[in-house]
Amino acid sequence: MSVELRTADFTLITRYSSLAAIALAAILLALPTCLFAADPSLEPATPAPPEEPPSATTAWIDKLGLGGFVRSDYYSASKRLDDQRSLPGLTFQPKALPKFGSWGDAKIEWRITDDNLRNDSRFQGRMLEGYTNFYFGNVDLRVGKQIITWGRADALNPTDVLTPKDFTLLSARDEEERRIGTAALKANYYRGDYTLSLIWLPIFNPSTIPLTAPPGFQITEDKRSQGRWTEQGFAAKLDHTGGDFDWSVSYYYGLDVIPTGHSTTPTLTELTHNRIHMVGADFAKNLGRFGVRGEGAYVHTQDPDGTNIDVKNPYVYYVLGVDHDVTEDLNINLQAYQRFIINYQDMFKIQDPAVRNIAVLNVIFQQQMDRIQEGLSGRIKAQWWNDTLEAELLGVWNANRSDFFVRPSVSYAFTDRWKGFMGWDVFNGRKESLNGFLQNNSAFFAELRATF
Amino acid sequence: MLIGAAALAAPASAEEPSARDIMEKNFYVTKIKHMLNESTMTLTNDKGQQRVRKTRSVSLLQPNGIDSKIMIRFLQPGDVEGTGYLQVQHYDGEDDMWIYLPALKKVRRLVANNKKDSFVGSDFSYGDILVPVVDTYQHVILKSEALDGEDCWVIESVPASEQIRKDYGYGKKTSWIRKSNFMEKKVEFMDTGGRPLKTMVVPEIVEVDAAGHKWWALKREVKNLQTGHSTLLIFENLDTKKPVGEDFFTTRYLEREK
Repeated sequence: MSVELRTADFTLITRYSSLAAIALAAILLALPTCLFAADPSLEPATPAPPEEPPSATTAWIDKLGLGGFVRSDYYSASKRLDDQRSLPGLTFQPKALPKFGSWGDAKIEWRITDDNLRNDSRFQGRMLEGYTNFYFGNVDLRVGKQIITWGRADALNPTDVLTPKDFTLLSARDEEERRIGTAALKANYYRGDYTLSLIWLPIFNPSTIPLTAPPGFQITEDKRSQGRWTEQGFAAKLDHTGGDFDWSVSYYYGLDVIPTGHSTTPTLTELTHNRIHMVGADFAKNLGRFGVRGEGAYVHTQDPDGTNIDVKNPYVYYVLGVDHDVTEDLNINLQAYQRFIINYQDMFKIQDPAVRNIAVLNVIFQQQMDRIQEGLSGRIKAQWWNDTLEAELLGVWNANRSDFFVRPSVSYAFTDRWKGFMGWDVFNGRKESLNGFLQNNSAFFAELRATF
Repeated sequence: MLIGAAALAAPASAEEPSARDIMEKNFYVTKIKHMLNESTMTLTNDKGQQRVRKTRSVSLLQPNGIDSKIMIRFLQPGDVEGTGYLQVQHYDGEDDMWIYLPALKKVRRLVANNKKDSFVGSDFSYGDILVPVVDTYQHVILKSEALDGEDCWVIESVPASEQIRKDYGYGKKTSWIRKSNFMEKKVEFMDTGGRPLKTMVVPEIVEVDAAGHKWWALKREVKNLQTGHSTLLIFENLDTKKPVGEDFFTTRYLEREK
């Protein structure tokens, strides 16, 4: 498959983007006035009336643990590399956390979203999680669709390979919200500060990656979600959280949530998922007023010799970072990472252009372009006005190919219920790099969110 | 200067305890073996706009009688609902702290805060929430006076060192301590430049352990005199009878969102 970054009509994009941005900015500016008037909590302080007993509705809401949020947003570009521009979106994400007593509770959370209201086909409803917890003595069991997050590093997590992410999600909080649950049975055994987790993932659920076939080409995906033995995953982790040193060791055997592509015909590429073994560890410790974190993994793949261009090579990936409160309102987090590809082959040297294009696409998404890859990530976060106004600068820089992702953003909590976000995602670099490849996903965004 | 301070710290009369004794009793009067409670923190800015934080907390006093383990679950606002916060205090060092963020599904070790930093955006500092041991400050009885009908000692406290002064952000504290039970009724804080910074009033208290002479403030209100921002903290549903085990202060409970 040949991958071409198509040129778009920038004049039209700019006009739509500007109009939508102005409209949304106007809404964002106008709403607080309405909200302040509508929300009694923002009226000047007056003596509180005597509290009334909760209504039957309030009692039910409390019993079921109902909550969630509604958000309206605008993105100047999609994250699917489909050249769609100026996307006004709407998302409703309700959840319930009913408690059954001391023996258990449950959680169900849905996302109903249309990330482009101008396009009829973008509506999507999806259960993010739906599970029940059972508590027995020193053992907790969680059964159902659940998100399992591993790793103590910040955002770059070599051990976080169990459950998928939707990398096409448009959200100001995409780092938190792009995760999707997988059907799993998780048993945790607790003893003091130690937790032993045993996990069975009977039905595989892959990540959604930002990729759209150019005109005349087709991409299909074998999601391997039939529940066959060869598609199931198994994992174990021993975790210590307590005292002055946190650590864990972990193991996963199952399918890779990130796909690799292979060409079945000149115009058809099939994405599939191969088995991996992951052995990992992490730690966190405070040294004075500095928090130090580290995380690393060795991933063994089905191509240990590096001879199959359709399968990822084994690799070692580790991250070491530090965070520090420079002042009361300013936190800085810096991390360095290195990824070492075992039996590396340079895919750019493949002669056949069709084969080379697929192989290059694979190493871009698998981040195996160079034998040794190094880089830095950073996050600077400042808060003002009693934590109601936040500004954040987030960035990842890959040293090998000098490509980077940067996101400057601000958020303001108009009230406890209403919050607004604005920011800019910038992907940049050479075409033969991850962030260069994602360059067309660069977007301005604005979002208004109401939590209930 | 130290000799002068020591002379000033002498008891105001032969019958009265020293300023240090009073502040030591004030320190221990709220050291309750274990407690469950719910609290509502209302933050009000100078324009009268309010924000409300509701939490449920469990605490367990450690064998040294000074430090506690505290688990706090945020109930409101919806944006932070389910967030868990675990603190293991060390009066002679940095506390160990973890936060569980439901959206990230992660327990994260936090870097210890400066004592002068704001507690979750409120007008309380971390140093106000975790009251320092008595010798952190040098104390002097200024006088006795009735405040809202209650007899109080008025005690001036200055940081025992320059480092403490910088860490806590106060140049001086003046406390009105109730003579009947050693609970504070009012505290005035000066910043390190000598300007009035905050006033805290404690209008409602309750005796939670008569045998152990333990009391708890049901209501605390802090007003920042420099910004006009204020915070009202109200405690409800106090329970000091229900047993609380050590195993409660682990990631197992931290990760439960309800």
